[in-house]
Amino acid sequence: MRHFIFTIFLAILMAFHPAASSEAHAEALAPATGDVLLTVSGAITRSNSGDTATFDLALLESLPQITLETETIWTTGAQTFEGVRLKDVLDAAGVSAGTLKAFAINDYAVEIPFEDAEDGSAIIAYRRNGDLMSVREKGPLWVIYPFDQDARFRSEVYYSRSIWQLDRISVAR
Amino acid sequence: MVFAFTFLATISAGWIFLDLQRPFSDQNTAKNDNMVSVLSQLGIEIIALELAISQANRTPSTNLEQVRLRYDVLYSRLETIRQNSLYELAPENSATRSNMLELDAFLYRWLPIIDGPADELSAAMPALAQDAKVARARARNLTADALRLVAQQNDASRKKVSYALLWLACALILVVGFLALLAGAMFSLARKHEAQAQHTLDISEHIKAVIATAQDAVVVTDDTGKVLEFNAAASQMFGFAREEAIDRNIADLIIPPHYRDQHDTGMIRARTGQPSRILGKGQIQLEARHKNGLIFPIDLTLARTQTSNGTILIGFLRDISARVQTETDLITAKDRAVAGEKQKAALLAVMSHEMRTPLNGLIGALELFDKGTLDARHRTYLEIMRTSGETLQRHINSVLDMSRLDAGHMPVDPQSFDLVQLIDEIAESHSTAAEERGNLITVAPMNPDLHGVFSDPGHVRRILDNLISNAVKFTKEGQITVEVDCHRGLEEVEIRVIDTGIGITDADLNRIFDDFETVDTTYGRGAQGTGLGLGLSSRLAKFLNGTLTAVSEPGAGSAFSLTLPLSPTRRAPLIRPQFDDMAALPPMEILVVEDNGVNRLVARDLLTKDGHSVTEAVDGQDGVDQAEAHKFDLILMDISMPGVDGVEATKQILGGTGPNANTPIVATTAHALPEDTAAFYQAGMCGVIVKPLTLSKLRQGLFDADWSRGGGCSPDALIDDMQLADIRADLGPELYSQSFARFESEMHGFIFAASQEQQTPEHMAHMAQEAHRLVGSASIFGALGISRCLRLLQDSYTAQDTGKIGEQVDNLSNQCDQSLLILAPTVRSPSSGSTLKP
Repeated sequence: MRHFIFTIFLAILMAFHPAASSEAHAEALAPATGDVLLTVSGAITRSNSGDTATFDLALLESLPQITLETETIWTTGAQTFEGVRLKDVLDAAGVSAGTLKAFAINDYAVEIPFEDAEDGSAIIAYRRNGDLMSVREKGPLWVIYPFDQDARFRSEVYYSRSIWQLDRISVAR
Repeated sequence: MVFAFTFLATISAGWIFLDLQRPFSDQNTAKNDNMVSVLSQLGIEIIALELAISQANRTPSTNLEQVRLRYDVLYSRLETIRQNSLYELAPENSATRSNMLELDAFLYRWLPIIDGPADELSAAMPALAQDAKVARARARNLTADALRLVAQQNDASRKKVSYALLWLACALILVVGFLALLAGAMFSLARKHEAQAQHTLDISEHIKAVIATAQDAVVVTDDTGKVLEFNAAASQMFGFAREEAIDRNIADLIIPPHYRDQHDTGMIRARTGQPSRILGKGQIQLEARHKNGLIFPIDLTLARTQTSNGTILIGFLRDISARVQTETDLITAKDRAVAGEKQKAALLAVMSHEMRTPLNGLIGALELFDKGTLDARHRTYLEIMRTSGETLQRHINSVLDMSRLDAGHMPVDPQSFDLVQLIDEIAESHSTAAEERGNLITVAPMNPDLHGVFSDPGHVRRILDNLISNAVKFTKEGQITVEVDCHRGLEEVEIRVIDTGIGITDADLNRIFDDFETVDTTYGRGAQGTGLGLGLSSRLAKFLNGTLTAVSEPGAGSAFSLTLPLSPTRRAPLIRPQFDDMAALPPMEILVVEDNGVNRLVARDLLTKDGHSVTEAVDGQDGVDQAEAHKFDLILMDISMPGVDGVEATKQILGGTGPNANTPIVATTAHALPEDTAAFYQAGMCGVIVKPLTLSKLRQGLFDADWSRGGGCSPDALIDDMQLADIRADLGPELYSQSFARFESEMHGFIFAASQEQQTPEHMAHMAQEAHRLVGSASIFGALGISRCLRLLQDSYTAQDTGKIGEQVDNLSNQCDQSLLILAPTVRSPSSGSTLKP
């Protein structure tokens, strides 16, 4: 139920955000001018740096923004995460299907099913409690699921997908 | 009980299951598992840092950033561990805790250098490499410790799980057990239900069989008239097959067109639960229609019952065509026979009259002979002619009487008379004739009550005259005895005439009461009998509600026994003065209730001629209605009328509270048989006028009624003398005295209780009951005044009308004093018959 409400909440946000419409991504992906935080490679149809799509903070912030408040097993108390949906990032890179593999700075890797992107549950957060996250604080990017909102995310499977210090996603067909 | 246990067991099993599920869903488990992976990564992160340091040692310019990044990753990793519950899990002063503190110390020792300028960091590389190596060993120890801790924790939770599983197993066994019990209970319940259903089915089958084989047609409909059941007898009776009738409306099947409206109204009444004229009223005679259109009479019994499908009506119908036909035939036959009898009687009467007139002439002429001028022979002839003439006259008179009796036209004049005196007179009158034959007539001493008896003395005299004269005739040198016995007081008085004469054979004894039967018998031949005497006597006895029987021993004598009721008929006038002065009748307002228009007209003409004003009612109901509306001085009531007959109408008028509840009512009837007359008096009528109506009969009837209005039927009378006489005769003096004494004391007791001040509802309810009981006692003693007062009191007590009670108790007390004053002497002189006279 909570999940359902959350999904609706997301759907509404998406509907009203100017960047949410698919036409917005018809153009070529803008180049990343700042420090690259995330590199999406592999089976992508849109790129801005060779055959990869690279995202700096500005580029991420141009995508539909989302705020999620939840506790995690690695933190104490409720945390407010700001970021973008994984789906929006993949859309921006022109990915509509495939297998996702997410990598951390220390080369920790985990597979994220495409459905997690598709149903909008997986979020790539870059702000925690209003501040950008440093590497020491598991930044700069952290995959977060709405743990508090839906009990199904409070399992080992989703905890393992909640990769922190994310810097790469490779897409395989 | 079983349900409750099962419920409890299920609840506990559920709770255990939830408890069991907890370790699996516990976030801590996930956290711990996650922690193990985090810890295992810790060593790798330190190695990665060491790798970066060694690369930076070789080429510091390019790889310093890499050292910083690796440091940051390690930093975040340790941060995560610190946030984790492992801290709390690890006991104080344990190796785990100290390892963690050491690692923290390593991290914070190097933090300023890592964040510091590049040259300082570059210079510190060898020391950092050394320190990192130590940290790596610590991390390895920490990981091993943590793994052991987690393993221990997992072990504990596995034990918990196994306990929980054990409990769950127990609970499950319990649940299964209870479910088995429940299933057993359900099964037995189902068996019971099945048996019950079978029983119901059996009953239903029985009923079906009964209906199917019933001789009467049985038709069941719902409350709209739709046929639900139509048995074989019904099919037979109405010509519709069962399949044909089912689901059709009964009105379209068997209700004749002229009953259709009534039927529809009746169905509406049945539906709306209004009182019905047919439902539950027993057998009603109606008409029904056959499929072929034939209308025939039926007896219908209709019942209504409630079922789960609504109201149903069950009709039992019987074809009574044959019975009705037989009845009609019988009535026709009876009418014919009666008409024939009447014609015969009329013929006899006319014949007798026609013979009597010339005979009277003959006898009269014989008297005119001058006997002095005749010789002895002619004188003998003349005497023979005269005797023969007189005999013939007696015969004709007898025949006339006989025909009158048969036609019911014999006038009855019941009145009080002295039977003792009457018998003495008759015996005296026959004494000369008896002496001539050497006979002695003896009258046995009689009960003093017989001084005041009630019947028609003329008829009694004729019967006794006949019996004594017969006894004298058939006895020579013998004894004739007259005895009187009171069997049930004056209700049954037996008068015996016993002779020591020739007697009658058994064969003849059976015939002597038949008409003209004496002629051929020895008994008849012995003397000049009319042959009608005993027949006439027997008829007269019957006419007076009595019997005449005989026993005899040929050669030894005969005994004739006349048994008569001689006590006054209730409410009949005691002494009826003969009407002689029509001027004595004041003009009255008279209601004539008569369904025959001609009779009504005659009555009106005759009555208005005498100055009375007449109101007419065309039938019994009309009479009751008119009597309700207006007060009359007198009501003439025809007896046989359609609907409410005269007797019923009289009861309604006198029993009601209308203005005519005390008005004298005189019956006008064509059949004045004594038993009918008794019924009229019983209903409260004051007199009877036998039709056809004539002026003199009407005047006599009105006079009687007027007389009775003055006293006989008076509602104000204190004591009903006839009732009192009855009860005294019935109980006998001793029992009567006892009963009276008890009644007297009960009355005093009641009046005492009624005079008490306290008038609680319970007291009044009790007093109402007491009053009701005492009304019964008072009525037994004919204490009319007391009865009236008690009834009023009963009403007031029942209505709890305290305002009236006081006055009514005073009235009762007065009435009681007066009545008991009158009644008291009846106890002190029990043999007195004086109470018969008003």
